Amino acid sequence: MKILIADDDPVSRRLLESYLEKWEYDVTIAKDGTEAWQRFQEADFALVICDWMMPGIDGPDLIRRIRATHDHGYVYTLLLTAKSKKGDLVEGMESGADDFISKPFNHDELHVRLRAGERIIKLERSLRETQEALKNSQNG
Amino acid sequence: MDDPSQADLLDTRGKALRTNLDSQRYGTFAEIGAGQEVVRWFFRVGGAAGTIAKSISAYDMAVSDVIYGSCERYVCRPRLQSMLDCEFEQTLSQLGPTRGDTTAFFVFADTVSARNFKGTNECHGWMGVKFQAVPRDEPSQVIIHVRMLDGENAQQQEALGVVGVNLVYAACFLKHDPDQFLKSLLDNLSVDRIEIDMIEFSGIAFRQVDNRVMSMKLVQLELSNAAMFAADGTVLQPSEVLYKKPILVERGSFRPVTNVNIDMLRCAREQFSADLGDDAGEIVQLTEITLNNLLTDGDLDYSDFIARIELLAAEGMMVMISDYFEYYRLAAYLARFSRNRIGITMGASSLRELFNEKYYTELQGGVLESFGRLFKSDLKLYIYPFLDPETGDFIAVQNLEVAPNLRKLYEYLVERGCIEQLSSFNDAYLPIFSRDVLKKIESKDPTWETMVSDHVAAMIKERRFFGYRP
Repeated sequence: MKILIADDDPVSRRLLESYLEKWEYDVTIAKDGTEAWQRFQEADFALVICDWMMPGIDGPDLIRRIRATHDHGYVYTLLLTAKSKKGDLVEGMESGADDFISKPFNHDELHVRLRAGERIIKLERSLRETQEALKNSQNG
Repeated sequence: MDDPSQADLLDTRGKALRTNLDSQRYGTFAEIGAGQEVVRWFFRVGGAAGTIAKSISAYDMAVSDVIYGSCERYVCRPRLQSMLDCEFEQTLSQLGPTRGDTTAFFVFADTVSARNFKGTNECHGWMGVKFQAVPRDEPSQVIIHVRMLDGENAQQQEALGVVGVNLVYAACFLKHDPDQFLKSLLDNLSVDRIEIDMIEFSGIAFRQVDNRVMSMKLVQLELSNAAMFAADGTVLQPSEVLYKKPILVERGSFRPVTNVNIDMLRCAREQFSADLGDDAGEIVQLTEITLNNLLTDGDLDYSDFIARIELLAAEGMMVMISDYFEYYRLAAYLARFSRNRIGITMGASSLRELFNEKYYTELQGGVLESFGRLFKSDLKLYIYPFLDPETGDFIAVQNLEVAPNLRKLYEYLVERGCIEQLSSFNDAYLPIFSRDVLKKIESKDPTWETMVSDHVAAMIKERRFFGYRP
C-alpha cells in the first residue's frame, strides 16, 4: 500500500519512514506540505500521514486539497498533532482528516491506527468494485 | 641512597637533603603567595648552603611587578614563566662566570593562592622548575598546575611544600625517566590533598617527551581526574580554558574520529548556540575520551592513543582525557569552572545506557541522584539519532526505550528540556561506526575512507594508523 508522509521535522519524518518500511508499506517522503501536494498529484496514494504545522501548506490545508480532488479513490488521512494542539483538534478533523495521532507518537499506536486505515481503504475499494460490478451487470 | 629511582623510599626530608648534598646543583627559589614553604624544607634539613643561592618572596604586588614585570593576574602561568625566566637569567649572569663550568643551575618558582581567611577563594597554584641538566647546558623546564584540596590554609601550605620538594628532586634526579618523574610528584601526599591537573615538559632534557601522553598519564596515575590539550598539542590548564565559558562536550572513543562524530558536534553546536542566544560568547568545544575508552583489551596502548588524538587534532578538536566514567561526575567537574551553560552531546544508544540502573548502584539515591546531579546546573543533553545495525531501527529521543520503571522519569526530563533531539543530522552518516572503520582497515576494504573525512583518511594512510597497510 502506498503511503505519503509529509513532515518538516527530519527526526519525525525519519522515524515514520523507518517504521513504515519495516511494516512493508511503500513509502514516499515529503519535506513539507508543498512538496507533499506535488507528490500526491503525481501518484496514487491510499494513505497520507501529515504533520499539522508545516511551512507553506499546513496539514489541514493539505487534507482539504486532497478531499477536493476526485482523481483518486478514497484517501485515508492521518493528522499528526503536537500535544499542545489537541484543543484545536476539531479544526483538524473538520478539514477532512480521518484520524489523528499525538506527537511524540507511540510505535504500537501508530501501527494500530494505520491498520484501521488500511481496513477502511480495503472496504472502500471492495465496495467500489462491488458497485461497479453491479452497475455493469445492470447495464448488461 | 644511591638509586634516585627509589624515590618512593625517601620522605620529603630525605629528598631535600639529597638535593642539598648534590654539589652540582645550585639555584634560586622564588615563591609568591602561600609562604616560603618549599625553600623552608631545604633550609631545615641542613646543607642548604650547597643548594640555595637565593631565596625570594616578592609578596607585595608592586614589588613583584618591579621585579618580574606587570601582569594581569598574579596566580597564572605567564607570571610563573616570568619568574622562572627572570630568576634563571639572573642566576646565570651572576654565578655563571665563576662556577658555570661545574654547576648545573636551577630556579624553582611558584605563585599560589592558598585558602583565604573566609575560605572564598579558589585554592590553586602554578609551580615550575627551570634547570640545566648538566653544567653549561641549555635550560629545560617543567611546569605544573596544582589544586589544593585541604580545608585549612596551614595544611595547604604543608602540601605545597611537599610537592615543591618533589618537583625539585625529580628535576635533579628523575629527568631521564618522565614516568617516574610524574609518579614521584605526589610522593608523601595523596590525591585527596593535591591534584595536579596540568604538566608541561620542555627543553633539551625532555626533547623525547610528548606532553599529550604525559597529560594522559596524569589521569592514568590518578594525579588528576582530567587533563586537556589543544589541537596543536599544547597542554592546557582546564580552569584557564573553561572559566565562565559555555561548554559543549562530545564523549567518544574516537577510534578513529568518523564523519558521525564530526556531524554530531556540528549539529549540537548549532542547537547549543541557538539555545544560548545572541550573547553566547565563545563556546568551548571539547572531545572527551575517558580512560576506560582508551583501554584496548585492558591495556593502555600509547601509539593507539597518539593515533586517536592526532586525528582529532587534524579535525581541530580540543581534547580532554578524564576518568569521569559517570556523566554526572563529568558535569560536576565542568560546573566547577563554569556557571555558564553546559551541553553534552551523545548518540541515542549512549542515552539508553545512561538510563541503565546498573551504573548507579553505588549511589545512595540511585538513578534519581545521578540525574539530579547531572541536570542541576542547567545542563542539557543533545541527542544524535542512532541506526541500530542489527534491526535497522531508527532510534531517537521520541522512540527510545527505557526500563518501564524509568519511563515517566525519562518523559519528564524530555519535557523539561533536559534532553533534546538533534534534528539537522546527516542521514547518510547514520550507518557509520568506528568499529566498522577499524575492521575495514584491517581487511583492506577501502570503503572505510568514505566513513571519515578526507584529511583523516589521508592521515591514517600516511601514518599507517590502526594497522593500515596499503
